[in-house]
Amino acid sequence: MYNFDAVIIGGGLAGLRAAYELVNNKIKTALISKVYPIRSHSNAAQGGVNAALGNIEKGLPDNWEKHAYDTIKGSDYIGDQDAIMKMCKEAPYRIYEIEHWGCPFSRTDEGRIAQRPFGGSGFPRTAYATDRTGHAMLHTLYEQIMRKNEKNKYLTFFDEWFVTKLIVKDKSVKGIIALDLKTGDLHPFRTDAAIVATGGVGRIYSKSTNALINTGKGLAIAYRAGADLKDMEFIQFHPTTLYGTNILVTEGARGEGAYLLNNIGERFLKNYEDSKRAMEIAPRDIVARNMIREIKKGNAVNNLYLHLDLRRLGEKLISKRLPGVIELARKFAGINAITEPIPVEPAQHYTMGGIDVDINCRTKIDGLYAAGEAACVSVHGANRLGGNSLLETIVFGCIAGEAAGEYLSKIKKKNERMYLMESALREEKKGIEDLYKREGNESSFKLFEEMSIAMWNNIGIFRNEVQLKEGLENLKRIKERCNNVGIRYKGKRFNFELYWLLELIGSIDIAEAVIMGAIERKESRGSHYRTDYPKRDDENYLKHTIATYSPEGAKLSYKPVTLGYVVPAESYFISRRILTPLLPSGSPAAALCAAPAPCILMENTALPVRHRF
Amino acid sequence: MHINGKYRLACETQILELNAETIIIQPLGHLPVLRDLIVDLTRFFENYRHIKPYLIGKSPIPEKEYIQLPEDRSKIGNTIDCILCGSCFGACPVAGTDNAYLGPSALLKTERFLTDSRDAAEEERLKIANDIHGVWRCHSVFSCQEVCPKELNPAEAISKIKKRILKKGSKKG
Ligand SMILES: Cc1cc2nc3c(=O)[nH]c(=O)nc-3n(C[C@H](O)[C@H](O)[C@H](O)COP(=O)(O)OP(=O)(O)OC[C@H]3O[C@@H](n4cnc5c(N)ncnc54)[C@H](O)[C@@H]3O)c2cc1C
Ligand code: SF4
Repeated sequence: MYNFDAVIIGGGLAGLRAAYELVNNKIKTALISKVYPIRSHSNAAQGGVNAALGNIEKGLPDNWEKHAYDTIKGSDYIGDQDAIMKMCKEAPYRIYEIEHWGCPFSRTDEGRIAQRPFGGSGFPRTAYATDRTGHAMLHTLYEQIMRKNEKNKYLTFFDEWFVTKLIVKDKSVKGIIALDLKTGDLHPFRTDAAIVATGGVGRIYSKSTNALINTGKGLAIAYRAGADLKDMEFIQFHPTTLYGTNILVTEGARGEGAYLLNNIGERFLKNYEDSKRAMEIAPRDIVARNMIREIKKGNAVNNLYLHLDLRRLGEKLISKRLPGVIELARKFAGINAITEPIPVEPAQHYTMGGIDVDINCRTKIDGLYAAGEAACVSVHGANRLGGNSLLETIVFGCIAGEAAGEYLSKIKKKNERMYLMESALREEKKGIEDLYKREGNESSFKLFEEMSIAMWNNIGIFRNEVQLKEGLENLKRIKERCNNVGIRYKGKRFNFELYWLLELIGSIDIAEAVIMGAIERKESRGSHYRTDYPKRDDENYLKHTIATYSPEGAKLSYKPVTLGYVVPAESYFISRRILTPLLPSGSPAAALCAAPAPCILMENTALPVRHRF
Repeated sequence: MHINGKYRLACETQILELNAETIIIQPLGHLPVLRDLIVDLTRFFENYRHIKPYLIGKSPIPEKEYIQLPEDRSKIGNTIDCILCGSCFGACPVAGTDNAYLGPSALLKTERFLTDSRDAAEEERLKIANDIHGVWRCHSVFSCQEVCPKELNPAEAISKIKKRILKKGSKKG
């Protein structure tokens, strides 16, 4: 049995940032990740990370409040405004911090962190490291943790370990159980605090830009242990992904002037009311929806995909600004993007919902925290702005680490739980042994594929009651068929048949919460588009969907959205001065509004830099 | 993985491009095989940790970001792209014969920090690289450069480190 004060599940940006915080506070921590942390999906982020640094001339009047305003608007008013303000206010600190740690951001001529414009932002606010921002940030954090850990060794990595269960008793965390993929053995970890940082759930969809590891299992572990899921129906779809593999083709391509064409080479976006003006640079969800409409009309190339045409930009510009696009078109589609159009289609891209946490990353279970894409604070609401999710990981990763540390310092360590841990382990072991014994003729790989295709077809970009209910029925059938999965390979080392079955069972829990939430949200908001209810309905649905696990399926309830900064109906900006007296005193929103803005502080030389070495 | 005679990233290798009837896939070299194509990367990551793979920033730490001019940023423009895939390590004949050799990617990482205008630990880094199992073990076979999927050149980085050490006149090993 392992003994740790805190266990972090997930080694992406959010998990690593939380780890840094815990190790810095000398808390004995385990970081468990099913892949080497540097292979986490955070790696894939290309575009950049938002913070109102004001480094670009045009962006000088930028400040965190404007960032917050854009984010609230982007969330279609269902993001919690106190959380959004907190994130935007912390953003510059976190960016400077990771820069001090070595993050190789691209630079302006003056040597400052370069920033570029991104969809939905009023300013060039997105800091970037060429088109490999996630890679740069992930490696930097990993590196600095190596540094911290060199001497004090408070952190132990469990790489290629897969967490299967969270042990909760009396509404507080007692431990977890994890499978060492290398040996196939289950191990109990005794701990008082656990942080779930397992990333998004994209792979519940057959077409997704997410890595194969983003299955939602991490969420399912917390969900089954009693934590709630929030706003799961909000799933972002990206318009341009490579046909077939669904690798992301950056929005930058359209930003630079690439055309979207149908099978007769027509810029079809002009035929749709909501995109005819902005054309290719209309918002993501509008472009994605019109692409699907065009494909359904039978106007797709080879009846399969549309074309993203870069040719008119010329070789020079393409190679300079979009080298990544050339590379992936060549490697994965065998296409020379300079002379040929790229086959593209929309695909799932981001999970706005997640484990329900408060502004301090706390769930309703004592000692259980969540951060990053796995969590729903919520800062993205019904739609995430590009560049805000990387920011979320480092801001809330840090907060989760802090909150867990604080919790640990307050509680009395109750070490006597041998019996509980042992019986949980026995039960989990028996469950896995039973799976090994199964001789059924279904395959976990095949069922996973069927589930994700059903999700794409029924709970995709367009939704309606009939399809959603059909989706739920499909899912129930797949769930039943899981009982018939046989495991042919009986070895224990890296048994991927077993592994995928465990993933699948988790993914089904999550998929069900997505569908149930979507059925009950009878409006269209942000990424959630109901053809039978095409309008936003603030009167009835300006609220968070909460899903609670029960063996019969998700039980839904609702929670209010924290407002108080920007008024949804009219979507205008109320200045803090006017608003502060109107807020209930003592509310988090009031506290945030009352605090001085860091953009003013930033001019002040006395600004404390956090985490100096 | 070793695919038809060359180290490549399996995730991006296109079967048609191999232009072969039979495809032979083998695990990464010089590392113990755990199962089928899966190897134990412990040694690879131990080497990585050994070279202090992190920025040791100059003091004082500025209030905002360190100023790094674009020409300075371009010096690390390549080396930061290393994904620690281990292809160079598997392909390096020296890594196969000397168990203690730091290997191409760890030394490339050393060069990454040596060339970062924000780093203050040149001496410390050179001391680690200046070892018979460090840069001096490299025989400039250039297999690393040949296989690197990110088109990086660890061998060149190693020779740059050698030059830095020689300039300081402190060759060891
Ligand atoms: C193609 C692409 C491009 C993107 N570009 C941008 C961008 O430009 N800007 C931006 O802001 N955002 C971008 N995003 C979104 C952003 O990258 C992610 O939201 C963010 O990186 C998620 O980080 P994370 O730490 O929450 O999770 P991840 O990085 O996904 O890490 C999850 C971790 O959990 C571990 N794990 C999961 N389940 C288990 C388990 N059961 N047991 C053990 N370990 C487990 C995994 O091993 C992994 O280490 C992009 C996303 C994609 C898909
Ligand atoms: S230098 Fe190239 S081959 Fe070596 S680990 Fe890095 S990316 Fe892989």
